Amino acid sequence: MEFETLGAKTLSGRRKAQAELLEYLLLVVFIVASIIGIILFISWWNAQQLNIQGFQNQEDRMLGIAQHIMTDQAFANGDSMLDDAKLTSIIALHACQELEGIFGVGWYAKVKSLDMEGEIPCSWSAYPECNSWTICDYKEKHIGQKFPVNVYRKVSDKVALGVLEVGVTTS
Amino acid sequence: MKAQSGMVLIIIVLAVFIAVVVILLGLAGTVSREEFTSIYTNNLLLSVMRTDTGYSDARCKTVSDLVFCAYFTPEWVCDGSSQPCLEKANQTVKKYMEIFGNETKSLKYLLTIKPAFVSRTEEGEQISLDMGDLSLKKSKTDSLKIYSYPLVVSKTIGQNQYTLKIQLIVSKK
Repeated sequence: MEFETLGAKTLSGRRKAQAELLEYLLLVVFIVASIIGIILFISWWNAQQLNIQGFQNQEDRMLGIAQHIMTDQAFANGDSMLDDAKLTSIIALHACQELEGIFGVGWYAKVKSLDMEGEIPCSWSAYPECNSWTICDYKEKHIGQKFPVNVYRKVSDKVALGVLEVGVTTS
Repeated sequence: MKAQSGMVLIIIVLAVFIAVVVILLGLAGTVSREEFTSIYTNNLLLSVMRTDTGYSDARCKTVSDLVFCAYFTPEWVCDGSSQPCLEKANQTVKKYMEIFGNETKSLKYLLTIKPAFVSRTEEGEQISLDMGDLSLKKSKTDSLKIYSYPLVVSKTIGQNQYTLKIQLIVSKK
């Protein structure tokens, strides 16, 4: 009788010990999986941060170029309005290479005056009956933004509403 | 039991960690967009105000002249127009916003025009002229509205100089 009780007690003690061991084993497996998960997550986070940083750099560059074009005397008059005669001169002189010396390569700018129907590209011969100027036309993959601007029409001495689109090529 | 509570604790810590990361990621995107929307809204207001209307009348030459006319002399009829200033200003601003919306993105807009000096109604409300979507004024979803900086415009009419503060509020349609 005493033997049986002792045997039963030993058996239940073993089962308890096994259950505890299994719980700890599970905990260890969970902790290891969590650590691997965290490492993977941090790697992904770093990659995301690099992507975001890259995108922000491109956006900053785009904003910088746009603000420069809106205010620079080479493009705009004293009131920070884009001057159609200056824009036409830049197109006629094929000044993209010179401008790349200022802004770097891999960008484009497009100005469209909204006082005319449709889109008529400007050149010496088409001026002033035109409303679109494209500087450094890049065909590669790019991101771009549009900004509201004013276009000063020198011949008619009128101020028109316009859109400046600036884009930079993406790697 | 001890091991189970340990697991629960780890799950909570992981959940908090992931939540913080997601919030940080969201914030990083917002900061960059804010700079662009600020430039966009301020440029939109300035560009529309400086655009010529096509009238030679000094009171109606540019959109800002029309706005002045609509605020101080709303019944005035510009040379060559059949409508009074107030109506013409509303129509012109709407037209330019639509033209621009077709080129970029269509937006709901509200133009609020207030004098630089404090002028109030008998009820104590500041006298202002609003053009555009008035629902933007009452809308509670402030996070979706973008405010431009107030544009201060001065004009001499007769021998007096008048100053108006014009602000643009835009929101996605």
